[in-house]
Amino acid sequence: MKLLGVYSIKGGVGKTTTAVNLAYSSARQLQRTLLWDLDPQGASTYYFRVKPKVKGGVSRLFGRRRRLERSIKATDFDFLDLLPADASNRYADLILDALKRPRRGLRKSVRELRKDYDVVVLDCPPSISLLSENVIGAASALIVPVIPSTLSLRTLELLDQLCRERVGDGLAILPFFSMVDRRRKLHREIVESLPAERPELLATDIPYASNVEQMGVRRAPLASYAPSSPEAERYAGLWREIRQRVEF
Amino acid sequence: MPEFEVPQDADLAELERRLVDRLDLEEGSDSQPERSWYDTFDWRLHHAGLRLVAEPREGRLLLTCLPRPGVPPCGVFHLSVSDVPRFAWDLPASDLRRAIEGAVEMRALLPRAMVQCARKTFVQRNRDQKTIVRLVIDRPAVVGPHGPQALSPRIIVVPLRGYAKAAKRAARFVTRKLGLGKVQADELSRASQALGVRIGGYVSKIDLTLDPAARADQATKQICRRLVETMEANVDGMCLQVDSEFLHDFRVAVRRTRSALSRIRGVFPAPTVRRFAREFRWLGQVTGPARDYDVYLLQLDDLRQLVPEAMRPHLDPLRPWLEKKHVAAYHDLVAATRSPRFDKLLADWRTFLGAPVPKRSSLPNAQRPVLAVARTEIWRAYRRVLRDGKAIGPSSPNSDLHELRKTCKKLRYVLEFFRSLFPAGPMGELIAALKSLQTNLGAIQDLEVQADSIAAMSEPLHRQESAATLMAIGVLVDQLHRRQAAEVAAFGAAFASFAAKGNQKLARKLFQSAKGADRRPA
Repeated sequence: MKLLGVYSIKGGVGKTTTAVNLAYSSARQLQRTLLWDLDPQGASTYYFRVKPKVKGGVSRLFGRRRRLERSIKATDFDFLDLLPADASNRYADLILDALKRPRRGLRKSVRELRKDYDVVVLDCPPSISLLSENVIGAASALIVPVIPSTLSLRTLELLDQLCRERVGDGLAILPFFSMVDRRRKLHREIVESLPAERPELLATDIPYASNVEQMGVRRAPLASYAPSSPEAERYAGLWREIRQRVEF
Repeated sequence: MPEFEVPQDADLAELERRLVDRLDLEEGSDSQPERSWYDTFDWRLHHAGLRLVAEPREGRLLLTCLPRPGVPPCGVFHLSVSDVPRFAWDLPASDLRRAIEGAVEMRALLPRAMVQCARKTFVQRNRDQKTIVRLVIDRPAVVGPHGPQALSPRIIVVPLRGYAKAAKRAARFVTRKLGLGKVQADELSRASQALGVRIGGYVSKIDLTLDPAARADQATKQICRRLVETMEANVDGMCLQVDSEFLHDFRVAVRRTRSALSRIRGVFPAPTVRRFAREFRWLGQVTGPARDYDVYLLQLDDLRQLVPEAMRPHLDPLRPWLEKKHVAAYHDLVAATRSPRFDKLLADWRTFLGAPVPKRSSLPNAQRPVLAVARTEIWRAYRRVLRDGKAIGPSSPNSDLHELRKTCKKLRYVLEFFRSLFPAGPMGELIAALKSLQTNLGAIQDLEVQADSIAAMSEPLHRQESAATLMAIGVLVDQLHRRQAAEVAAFGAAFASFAAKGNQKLARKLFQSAKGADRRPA
């Protein structure tokens, strides 16, 4: 089983749309896929029209009392299930901190899912927290959306540092450009210059497009309602690239 | 997934209307899914309680392994593949492969039935417009040799994880309001029935139930007819080299036939026995080399493990060399089985077996009850194994062990021919005891034959291959000899266990009959 964390320290960079569309791409390739919405805002959960509710709250996700399987919901798409968000996810750090090994709570929970899923995609909340340290410690790779702006690049460096401290160089960090607006000069410049400095950057970028924004209205993955749109093709391409890099 | 059978004469359109109205369903989509059910020629997945089905999905094939109805439920495994490989070992490493490879072993995965469906899918949604259950109406047809053949339609309630209540409600409606019952047999069973194929129908074992009072000549013909059926069932797969076991089963049936001719004495006329014994010996000989190369190729990976890791690559030239020999051996085999001699042999044998037995026969055993003849023949073979086995000591040559192996095989065959005439429990015990002795004797001979054959290979290979290859072959041969020596050392214990007093007592009770007691009254 591959565990992919879609993560960024910065908010509003397209994490949820990425997590939803990548999970959908994975399921389209007949991989049994689970999208775990760890963000208390529950945007992934909303996109799939599922109630943001975990039976027993966040305390049922980690530690001895965990009962993940009871809260998993099928989405409307074959091979794609969702572990919905819950408002109590905001207390995840408190629950994790109370464990004997606070940095390994997520890894243990995910181990239970190995039998049922080939791929688990984590939609992570922004910020640096104990939960994000758990994600870094457990993931096969981190997928990091980066808006081509100075501030985003700075947070990417911060993430590099955080990962090095936590797991050394063992974790594949796979940044890609998200919400690229080619009408903007700064976006164009960064998209052209950064790959030379950061060879790990994925070649596929995701444009800023109204089609993607429509996901909130349609409440479904992009490729399910606009399968031949250029943006859906990009997400499919991004997924292919990730599979090659992570080798599965 | 609850499935309900719709009777052929039911008004499907009316059922659909009631479903949509009462469950407030939304029409999803129409599709034409196809499913191919796979199993081996001898139904190994079925016997292991499994089903394997392939469905085209998203430009690939979705393989699903699931428990067959009527067995304790186990996991359901999926795997996406570009095509279904012939052998399970060619599947990517996965839970699905692990679930089937132990049962399938070296047998090819063959499509046993293909079903095409006209499918209508309906969905029930909640207030958030989230799908909470799917209902599917399938009109399946099995693809037969003369085109599609309709099977009865089905309504399937597809539960979605986390929404069990909705699925239960829908299933209850279908049962109570539409009055439909759950399907009794799964799709493969229904498709096979429509095609006239019996699932699990082929078995290489002799699964006959003989009448103890039947005449021995008649019962022997019954046994031989079963064996010739096995030969005929395997000819095509053997010639097409679908997998190695077609030839194996064919050869076993030939050997058993020879054994029936030689071990069940005095039931057929001597000239007939002589002629067919000669012809089946020929059939055994012409199919022998191909089987040898099948075995070498099957065991090559295991044999490689016997030499140190650094030497293993030096054994690589063996495979292409063996494959070349394998092709030539099969070429000869196919030529033999396409020859007039082969056709005449099977046709004449069939004619002889199909002819009624003579009303009166001068042959000593022909008119005796088969039970009496079975007792005599088994007891004779059993005593011979005991006598020959006891005569083998630490200084006996290996040829004595090989002879004993042959004698054991003969005993095994007569036990299997007449198994149904005796109580199953004690018979099973005796066969199990014989089996473990045969395993030991088989290993002794196989290891010797392997060692000799591989040593002989170094002769033709020495001109074209490196010294390292020849050295690796030498090490391998040495390892095989060591293993053989260990098996020879274990013979004493294996034989003692077979010849244990309890087993002898059991055999005596089952097979030793008072002289003359079995004669037919005049």
